[in-house]
Amino acid sequence: MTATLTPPKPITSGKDPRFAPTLYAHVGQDQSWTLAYYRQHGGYQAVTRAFAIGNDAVIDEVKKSGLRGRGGAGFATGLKWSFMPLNDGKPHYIICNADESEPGSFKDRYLLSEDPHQLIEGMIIAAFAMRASVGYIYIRGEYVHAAERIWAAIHEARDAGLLGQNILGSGFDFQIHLHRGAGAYICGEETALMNSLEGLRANPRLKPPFPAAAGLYGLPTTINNVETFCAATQILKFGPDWHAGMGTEKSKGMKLFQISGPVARPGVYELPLGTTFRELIFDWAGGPLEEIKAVIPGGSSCPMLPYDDKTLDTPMDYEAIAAAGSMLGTGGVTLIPKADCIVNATWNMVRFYAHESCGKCTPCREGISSWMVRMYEKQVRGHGQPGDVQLILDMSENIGGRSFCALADACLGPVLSSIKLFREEYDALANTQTPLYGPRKRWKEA
Amino acid sequence: MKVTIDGVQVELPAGTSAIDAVFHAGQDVPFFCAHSYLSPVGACRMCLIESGSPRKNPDGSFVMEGEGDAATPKIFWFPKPMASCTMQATEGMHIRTAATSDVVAKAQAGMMEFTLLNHPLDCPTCDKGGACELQDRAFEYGYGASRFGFDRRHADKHYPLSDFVILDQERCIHCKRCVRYFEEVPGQEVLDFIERGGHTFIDTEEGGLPTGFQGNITDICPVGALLDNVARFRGRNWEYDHTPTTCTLCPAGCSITADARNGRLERVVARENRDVNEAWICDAGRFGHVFASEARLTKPLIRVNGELVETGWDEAIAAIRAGLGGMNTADLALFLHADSTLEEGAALEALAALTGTNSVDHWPRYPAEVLSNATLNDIATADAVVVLGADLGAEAPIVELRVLEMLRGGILPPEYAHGTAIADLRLVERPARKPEKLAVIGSASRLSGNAGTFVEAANVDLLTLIRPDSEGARAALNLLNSAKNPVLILGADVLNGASAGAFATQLSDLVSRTGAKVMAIPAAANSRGLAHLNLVPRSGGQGYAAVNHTRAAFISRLDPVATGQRPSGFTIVHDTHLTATAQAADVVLPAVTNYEKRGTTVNVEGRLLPLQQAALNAGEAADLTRTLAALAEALGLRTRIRGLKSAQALLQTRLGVDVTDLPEAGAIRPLGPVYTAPTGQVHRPQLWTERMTLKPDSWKATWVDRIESLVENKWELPMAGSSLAGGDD
Amino acid sequence: MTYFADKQPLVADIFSRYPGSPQGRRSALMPLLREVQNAHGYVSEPQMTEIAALCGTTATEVRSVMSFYSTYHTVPTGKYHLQVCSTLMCSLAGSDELWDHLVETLDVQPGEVSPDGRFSVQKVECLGSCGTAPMMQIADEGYYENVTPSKCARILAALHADAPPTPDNLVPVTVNAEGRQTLANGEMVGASIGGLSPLTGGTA
Ligand SMILES: Cc1cc2nc3c(=O)[nH]c(=O)nc-3n(C[C@H](O)[C@H](O)[C@H](O)COP(=O)(O)O)c2cc1C
Ligand code: SF4
Ligand code: SF4
Ligand code: SF4
Ligand code: FES
Ligand code: FES
Repeated sequence: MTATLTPPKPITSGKDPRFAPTLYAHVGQDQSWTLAYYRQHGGYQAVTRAFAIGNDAVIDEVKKSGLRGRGGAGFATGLKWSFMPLNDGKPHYIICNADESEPGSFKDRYLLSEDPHQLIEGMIIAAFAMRASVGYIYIRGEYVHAAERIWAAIHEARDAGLLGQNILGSGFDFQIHLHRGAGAYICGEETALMNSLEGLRANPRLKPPFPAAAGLYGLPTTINNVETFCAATQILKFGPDWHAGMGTEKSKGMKLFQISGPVARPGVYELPLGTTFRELIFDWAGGPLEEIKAVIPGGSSCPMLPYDDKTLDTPMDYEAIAAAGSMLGTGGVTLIPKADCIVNATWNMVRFYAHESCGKCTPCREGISSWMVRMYEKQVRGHGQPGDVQLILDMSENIGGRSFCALADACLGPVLSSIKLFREEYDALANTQTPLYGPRKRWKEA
Repeated sequence: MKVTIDGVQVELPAGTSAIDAVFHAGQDVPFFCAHSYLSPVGACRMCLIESGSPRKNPDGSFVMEGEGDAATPKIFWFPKPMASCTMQATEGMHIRTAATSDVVAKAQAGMMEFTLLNHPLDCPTCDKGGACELQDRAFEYGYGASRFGFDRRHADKHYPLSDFVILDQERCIHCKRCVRYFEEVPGQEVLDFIERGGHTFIDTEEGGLPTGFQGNITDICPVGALLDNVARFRGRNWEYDHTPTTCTLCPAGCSITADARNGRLERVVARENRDVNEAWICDAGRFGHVFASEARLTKPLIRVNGELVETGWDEAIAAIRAGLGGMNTADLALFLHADSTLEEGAALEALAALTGTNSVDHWPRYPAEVLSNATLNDIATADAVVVLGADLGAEAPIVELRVLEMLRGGILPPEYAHGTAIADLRLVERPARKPEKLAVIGSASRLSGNAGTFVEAANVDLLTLIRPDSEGARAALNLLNSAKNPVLILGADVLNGASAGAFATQLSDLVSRTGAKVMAIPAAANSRGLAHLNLVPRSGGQGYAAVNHTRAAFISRLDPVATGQRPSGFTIVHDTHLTATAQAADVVLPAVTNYEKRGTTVNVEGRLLPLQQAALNAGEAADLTRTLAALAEALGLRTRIRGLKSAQALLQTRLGVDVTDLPEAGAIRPLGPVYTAPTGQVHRPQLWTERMTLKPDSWKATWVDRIESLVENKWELPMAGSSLAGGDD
Repeated sequence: MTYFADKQPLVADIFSRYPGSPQGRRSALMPLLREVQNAHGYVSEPQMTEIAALCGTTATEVRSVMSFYSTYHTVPTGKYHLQVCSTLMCSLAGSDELWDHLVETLDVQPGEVSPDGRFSVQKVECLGSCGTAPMMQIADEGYYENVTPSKCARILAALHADAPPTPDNLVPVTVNAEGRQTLANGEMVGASIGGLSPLTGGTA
C-alpha cells in the first residue's frame, strides 16, 4: 500500500512551470505536418498504447481525464464515447467536426494544417474505443490548404499501415476519408453535418434519435471536434492523470484559446483551463491596443461580457464563464473596442446568423433572418425609433428557446448581452438616430 | 399511459405524440407542418406546449410533492416550451396548452407573428381563403397586428410548377409538407427548397412536376401557395357546394369531395379514407373532371330528317317507341358502362328480365371476375408484393401508392378521439425503402422502377409465376413463398386471359402454395360490383363486343363507334356528351356523370362505397335507373324500379345488402356469386381519356395568361352574398 | 461530352469513400460539385443533371443542395474570385473599407465578372483567420491575411499581371521549437512537451 500523497496543486496558468503545450507543441515548426516529423517527435505512440490497453480501457482513461468536448458544448467526451452500442453488429462511424465556422474561432485550422497526424492518431484511438470502422473528417470548404495537408497525411498514414486493415498489427481495421464542406456555418451542428455528408441540405435533424443510436446513414455515430480528438491523443500518450492535473475541478486539461481584435499579439495560445482572461489578454496577447469595452469569451455565440476587473479575473473554464453569464464556447476571445458602435458590431453578428440560418424553422428564418437583422440595419442606418429596443427584446423572447436548433439561440447571445451592457448606445440610436460612437476608419497599415 | 393535459387526465397508448395527446384530450394547439401521413419535422414551431414529467428517486419511487395522502409526484417542467409534434408523451407527463399557460399563449402569438411576417395576406384573392389553416389559426392565436414594419419578401406569385399546379412563392410558409410528400409518398425527388435562410423557396428542376400524384400537394399545403390550376380562381371556398363522394375513374374508389359552384364542377379534392386512399388521390381523379362541366348534353335528342335535334323526354320516349316499331323487346340489347352504380346495374338487370333479352353486357370487364381478398391496407402492410401484368399507374393509381407505402414500412398512423394521429413519430424523413420486397412482372411502368425484381415480359399469365422460366420470375415466386403476408396483384395483362377453368385452378393452386392474398384489379370502377348481377350475355345473346351485330341497342355511357364498332340497328344512346356513338344514334338521352349520382360502387377490395350527388347543372339529364324507367315506358313495360329507392330495395333482395346504411368510409360486404362470360375483346386500361384533358393546351396558352391579366387588373372574385345568377347558396 | 465521361478513375475514387448503398452514393454529390466548380468556376445546369444521374438523384435535389451552400456558383465567376471576410473580427480590422475599395477599383459588383474576365467578388463569413484580420480568399487558391491597404495594392497588381502571389498561411502561434510558449514580454515560461513522460504500452 502506498502512502497517500497530497495531490499536486492543479495547473491553472500557462505560466505554471509544470505546464507544457502539447496540442500546439509542434504547430509552427517546419515540416510538422509530415509523418516523418510526427514520428520523430513521439507520434503514433499513443495509439500503440491504446491498442495495448484495449478499447474499454481507452474509454475509461478518457473518462478519467475529465476531457470535455472542445467544439462548444463541453459535453464529457468519455461519457459520449460510452454511449456507442457494443456488439450490435452494425458498422459504427466517427466524424471529426472540422467545420470551424464560429466567428472568432481559428484553432482547429492550424491543428489541421500543421499537425494532421495528431488528429489522425486521435481518430484511430477514438475509433478503436468505439468500434468504428470508418471515420470522416468534415472540413469546411474554405480550408483549402488544411484540406490538402490532411489529404496528404491520410495518404501517408495509409501507406504506412496506420490506416486500413490490421493497423499496427492490432487486428483493428479503420479508414479515414476527407469530406469537404462548401460554406455553411450550420454544418458545424452535428446532425446538419451528417445531412451534409449524406449529400443533403444541411438542415439539422430531429433528436432523438441521437447520433450514437442512429447517426450517419442511420448507424451509430459519434462526432467530436478536432481539438477533442487531438486531446485524446495526448491523454493516451501522457495519461489521464496528467490531463486531469490541469484545469479546474470540472474543467480539466488544456484548451486552445484564440484571441482576436485590437491586441498586440492576436493568435492561438494553449493554456490550462482556468487561466484568467487577464493572463490571456495581457501576459500572452500583450494587452489591448486601444480602449476596450467588451469581451466575447468564446466565439460570437457567447454573450459578451463587460471589459472590467471582474471579467478579467474570471478563470476561463466552463463553470466560471457560465457563472459570469456567458459560455466558454470554442475559446475564441474577441475584444471589442470602446470607440466602435456596439449596435453596429452586433448588427454584424446578427447579419452573420441571418445569413447562416438554414431556413428550416420559423423563428430563425423569419425572426432572425428577416426581421432581427433589419431591425439592426434600421438602427445603424439612422432610422431607429423609440420602442425599437423594446421590440428587439420582445422578439428575442419569442425566438429564444423556440427554435429547432441552437443557431437561433446563438444569435441572441450577442443581441441580449449587448443590450444589457450597452443600453445607452441602443437608446441613443433609437431615440436620436445618432450613434454614441460614430463610424471611423479601421483599415490601416499594421 | 396516463397523461394530463390542462388538468384533464387521459389514458393513451405508448408512442403517442404530445400533439395527439392534446387533441385526444379535447384541447387544441395550432400546427402547420405536422401532417398525419408525413414524418413530423418540427419546422413551423407553432405547436408549442409546456410539458413536465415526474422523476424517480434512485430507489424507483417518485419524487413527491405535498404532505401525506395529498402528496403527488412532483412534476419537473421543461424550462422552455417544446414542439408537441415531435415530442413523445410519456407516462405521467403533464402538458399545458395556451388555454392554461400564458407562456405558451405568448409563444404561439409570437410565432404566428413570425409566420405572417412575409406572408402577403392577400386572402381576398387567394383560392385558399376560407379553407386556409394559416388564416384560421392567425385569427385564433395571433396578436392581431404585425409589428414588422418592413417591406415583405417579394417573389413570383404565379409560378407554374406544372400544367396543374401553380406556386405562389410569396405565400409559402416553408412547412415542407410538399417536399416531404414527394419524398415520402410517391418517392419522387422532384420538388425541394432552393437557397437557405430567409431566401428559401420551393422549386423543381424537372421541367414540371410529373403527372401521377402531384396534385396532392395542393391539398396539404396549409396556405394558398400551391394551387390547383384547373380550379384556379373558380370560386371561393365558402361558395363551393362540397359533396363528399367517391371517385369512379378507376376501381380504387378514392374518397373525394366534389366542389361545385354555379352548377359546374370546379374542383375535386381528396377526402381522408384510412382504409382506401388515406389522404391522397391521383392526378386523374383530381384534375380529370373538366368533362363534367363542359359540353354536356342537357336534353334528349332525336333524329329528324337525318339530324339530331333537341327535344323533351316525352318526345324521346315516343321516338323510341316509334323507332323500335313492333320489334320484339327481347331484340333490344342493353349495354352499360361498368362504372355504373350497383343501383343502376340492378335496374338494368330487372329491365332485361322484363324484356327477355339475352343481349346484356357491361363493359369494361374481364372474362372472369377474380374476387380479391386483399385489402389496400393489406398491401400497405404486406411484407412482399408481386405485381403480375399490371400497370397500376393506369389501372388503379392509388394501389400503386399503397405498394410504395409498403416499401417504406407500411406504417399506418393510429387513430384517436380526434381522428387519425396528427404526428406519428414512427414516420421518419427520407425513409429507407426496401425494394427487395417488391417484384414486378410485365411491361415497364413507373412502379417497376421501384421494384427489387423486375421481369420485363410482354405476355404474362399465371404460369409465368407458377412455372418460372427466368431468374427474375423465380425470385418473384420465392418472394411470395418466403413472405409471411404476401400479396399478389393481378392486372389487365393477366386478367384479359383469365378465361374460366384453368385460370381459377391455377390461381387457387398458387394461393394455397404461397399463402398470398390476391388483389385483381377490376377493369372498371364498378366491374367488381356489377359482376354480382346478371349483366353478361346469356346464351344466344350478344355481348358488347358484338354491338355492331345487334338489331337494336340501348347503350349507356359507352362509345363503341370511337373504337370502330358501329351499331347497325336502331340505337338509343344514354350519355353525358355527344360522343361519336351518340352522333350516330337514333335517340340520345342525356345522362348524369358519376359526380351527380347517388348510389353505390364497389371498389377493388369489394368495399361498398357511396356516391353522392354534387350540384351540377345537367339540364334534364338522368341517371340510368330513371332512364331505364323511361325506356320501359317506351317499350310498354311496367317496371317496379323507377328510382334510387326502389333500386336499393331491389339490391337488398338481390344481393342481401342494405346500401342505404353504409358508413361514410364504406364497408366490405359479401355480395354472393358472380356472373361471368367471355368478352370477345381485350380491355386495355387507360386512365386518362381525351375528354378529361379537354383543355391542357388552352391552359398552357391562355389560362395562365388569363390569370396574369386577371391579377394585373386587380380582379377580385365576387364575395359570398353577391347575387350571381345560378349560385348555389 | 459530359464532364465526368473521361474521369472514371476520379469518379470511382470519390464513390469509394462512401458506402455502396444508395445513401452512400448520394454522399458523392458535394465532392462531384466541387470537382466541376474547381474546373469551371461554376456549375451549369447540364452538369447538375449529370451529377444527379451519378448520385442517383434528380437535378432538383442537386440544385437544392448546391444553392444551400455559399461557395457553389451557378453563374461564371472571374478568374480570380475574391472572397472578402465581412464578419466582426475582420470588420473591426477594416474589411468593410477593403470591400468598398475592391468593388470600386475593380469595378465589379457581386454576381458580375469584371470586363477583363479576371475578377469577381463575394462577401463571405468568418473564414477562421480572425487572428490575422482582415483577410480575403481567392476561390480555391488560398488565403491572403493581414490585408493592409498596401498589401491589397500588391495583391491586385500581381493579379492584374496574372501572377497571383503565394497564399499566406500565417500561423499566429508562439510556441517555439523547444515546445515552450513565450509571453508577450518575450519571456519563455512553462515546460516543454519534451519534458513530459509518455506512458508506455499497457500501463494504464
Ligand atoms: C450552430 C452550431 C454550429 C456549430 N459549429 C461547430 C463547429 O464549427 N465545430 C465544432 O466542432 N462544433 C460545432 N458545433 C457543436 C457540434 O454540434 C458538436 O456539439 C460538437 O462537434 C461535438 O464535439 P465535441 O463534443 O468534441 O465538442 C456547433 C453547434 C451548433 C449548434
Ligand atoms: S434555428 Fe431553425 S432555421 Fe435556424 S439554423 Fe436551426 S433549424 Fe435552421
Ligand atoms: S408550398 Fe405550401 S406545402 Fe410547400 S412548404 Fe410552402 S407552405 Fe408548405
Ligand atoms: S386512384 Fe382511381 S379512384 Fe383514386 S382518384 Fe385516381 S382514378 Fe380516382
Ligand atoms: S413544429 Fe410544426 S406542427 Fe409542430
Ligand atoms: S472574422 Fe474574418 S476570418 Fe474570422
